[in-house]
Amino acid sequence: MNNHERGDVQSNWIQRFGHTFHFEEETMSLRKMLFGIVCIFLVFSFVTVCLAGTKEKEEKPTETAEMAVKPGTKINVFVDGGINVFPFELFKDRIKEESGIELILNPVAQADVYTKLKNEFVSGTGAFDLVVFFPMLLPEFVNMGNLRPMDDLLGVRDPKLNDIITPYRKLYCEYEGKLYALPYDGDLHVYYYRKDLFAHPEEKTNFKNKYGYDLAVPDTWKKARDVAEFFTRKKGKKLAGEVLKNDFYGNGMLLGRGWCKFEWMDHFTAYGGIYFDENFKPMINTQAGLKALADLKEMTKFAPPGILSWGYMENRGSFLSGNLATFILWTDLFKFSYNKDESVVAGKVGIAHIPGAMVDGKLQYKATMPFGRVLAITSTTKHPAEAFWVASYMSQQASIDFCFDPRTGEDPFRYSHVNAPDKLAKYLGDFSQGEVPVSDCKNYLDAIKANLEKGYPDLSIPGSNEYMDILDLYIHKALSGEMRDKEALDKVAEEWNKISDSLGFESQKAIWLSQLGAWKELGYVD
Amino acid sequence: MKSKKRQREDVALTAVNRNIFWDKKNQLAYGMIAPAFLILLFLAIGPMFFMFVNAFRTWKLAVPAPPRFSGFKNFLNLFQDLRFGNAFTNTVILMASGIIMQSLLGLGIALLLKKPFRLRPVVMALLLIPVLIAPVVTGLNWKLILNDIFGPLNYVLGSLGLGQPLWISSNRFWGLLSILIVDTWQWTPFVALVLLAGLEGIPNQVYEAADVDGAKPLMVFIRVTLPLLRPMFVLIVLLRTIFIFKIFDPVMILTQGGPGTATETLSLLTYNTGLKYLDIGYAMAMGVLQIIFMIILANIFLKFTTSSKISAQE
Repeated sequence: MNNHERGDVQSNWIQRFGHTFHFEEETMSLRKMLFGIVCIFLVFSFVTVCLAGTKEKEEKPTETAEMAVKPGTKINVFVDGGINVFPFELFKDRIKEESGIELILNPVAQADVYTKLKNEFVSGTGAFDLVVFFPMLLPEFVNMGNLRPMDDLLGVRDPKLNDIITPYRKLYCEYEGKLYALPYDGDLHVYYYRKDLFAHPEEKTNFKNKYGYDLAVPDTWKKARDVAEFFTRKKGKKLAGEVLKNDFYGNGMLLGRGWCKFEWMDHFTAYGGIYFDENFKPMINTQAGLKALADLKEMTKFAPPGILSWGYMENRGSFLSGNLATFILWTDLFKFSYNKDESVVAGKVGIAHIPGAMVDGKLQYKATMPFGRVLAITSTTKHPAEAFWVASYMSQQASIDFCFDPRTGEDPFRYSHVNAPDKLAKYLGDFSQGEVPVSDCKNYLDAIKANLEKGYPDLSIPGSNEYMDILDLYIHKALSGEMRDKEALDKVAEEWNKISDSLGFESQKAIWLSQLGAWKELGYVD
Repeated sequence: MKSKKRQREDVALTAVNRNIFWDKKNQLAYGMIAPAFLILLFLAIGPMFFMFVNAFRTWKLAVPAPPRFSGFKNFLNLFQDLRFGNAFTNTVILMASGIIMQSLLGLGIALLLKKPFRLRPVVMALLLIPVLIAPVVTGLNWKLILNDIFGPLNYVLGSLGLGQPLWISSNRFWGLLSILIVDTWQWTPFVALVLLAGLEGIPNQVYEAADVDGAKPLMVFIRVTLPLLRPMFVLIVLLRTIFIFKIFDPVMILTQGGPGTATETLSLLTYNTGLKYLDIGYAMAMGVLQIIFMIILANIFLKFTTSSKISAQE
């Protein structure tokens, strides 16, 4: 069939069938149409994305605050769930009674705090008025314009700023001379030990015979290692005069992924380690870092098997079940030890400052201050006065009650908290329906004060989440034998440099130096 | 140059096409497919386009800097990123071992279930349970089962004198094995049910013919059953490849990619990069590479299916 013949057939076909059509022609037409729509959509999206991407954030002027609190206002609170949302649950009714403000709680998993909050801030929906987060994130959120300063709201309700323990106020709440947050949880690492074991005459004698010095709360990592070794015993052996039904371990450790950086920091800082030097060069891969890793590896010999997957709950559960002699954890464990539902060691828990290292004949120790929580007001809130009222109430009025309550995860952060051992004793006594000696509570609160004097804050610069996760990752690799110690820490330094470059080296350096200045002012670094 | 007649024909055809487009009957058809098309456009094509665009940009949400075009920088960095290579290797190991293990176990279960027995319906219903459980719940349950100290599995192994491995916390081998066990526990029943459907679809006449020819059971299995199950196997391999390639929940819950990055998979690394480090551009580039890899893999499988159909017809 030649072209002419084909054309005739086709025109006949058109004449014969009128408006009916050839299937291939129709498919082609449909394809073209769909292709066209997709193209228009893609071009439109591309333009939208490009415009949205290049648009600089506009500086939103802070409105003058209305000081009066309007009853009936609903305040959306973002907070991590479980034991950390509990204070709000305890006080939401009282807040409504006293101010008329209704709280809507939006709890999330602790691991998701940064991600969820960041998503909210980037999308800017204004879903939350009051947010609770870790203070290490404060500079990043302030720089992104996500938080509203509180200085002009102080008249709404007095948060009694002078009662806040100075490092918590300076490091957790203030940034570039402005108040952006109020404390909600004063986290700090302390050394826990079993008082009953340390005081047992037979154990004391055996320890002295073995190590040549008296059994006491260790003040150095070397002595902490001896203590851990001494108390590690197999099932069937005797401990403090009793035959063990399970294996018993000298120390617990936070060595799971996401936790091991904290354990490492306690050692690293004792050897004089610091995150960066004044030129913003990472100082992680120094002798201090290597010694800290060597310490951790040594201590794992006296820790439960599988310790590389242990986090907060595993350590807490094991110590409160009576299977560990010593370990380092946040200060809230003391009050949990009086919760009979989970603890068999009530009244047996001693608390002391973190062990240190002898440097030039002088004992040097630091207590890291990981996590912590603050209350801040979002820049998108339409109710700043009401949000501040709630923040101030929780941080000031309600805080001593919820910090002493064994059902919450919050730790003391005010002078009025650490100077109230009798109130703590009464609180814990009522809760456990037993006698709690005031001296024990005083010892606990004094230990917090002693550790705070030598505190070591979290790294609080933009991207700190990423910096610290990389540190955690490579420490975990070194601990599991995936990498050699030096290689792992060198890799951290290399990755940290990359992160700094990607976030803007000079701006990151400036924020670090300002933070370093605040630390120096508090005497935390030389 | 077109003849006048040809030009007239073209005009006529265009007119016909226009009529076709505006034809009432076709308008209804377009109306019917429009919702599905729009949903696809916004939920699938849109995000994918967003991903492709941002894969070529540097965009970190930790600092208040706008995203900027960076060409192939993200992709070049990815090819030099050892962590990405490690995650890819882990994913491929899990994929290969998972598919082999689940196919063999699934085939065994399917063959056992093919013969009727009294409790068959109950067993079939029970088999569905692992597939119905949310992967997060499965992960949490297995985390307890595999616990080094108080986990029931180690208790049983210890009682039998077989040792007590540190399943999720010792090294890559035990970590990946733990993930593999969980994935296999959850998905083998699905594989078994698909293969059982395949087995039941094989006509009895084929077996009768083989019997008449004097074929022994093993020969029947190798020469008759397995070749006729081939399309089902291809389907299983394709589906499991896609699912295991995206494996996230068990890894996140059991090991979080640890120790170190020993068990980190591509999905977990992409999640960490995008949602933990907020490096959106880099995470998107990872997503693009994964899509390209999956498209290539799926095409290979589909070609294999087509060729198997053709050979079966021949």
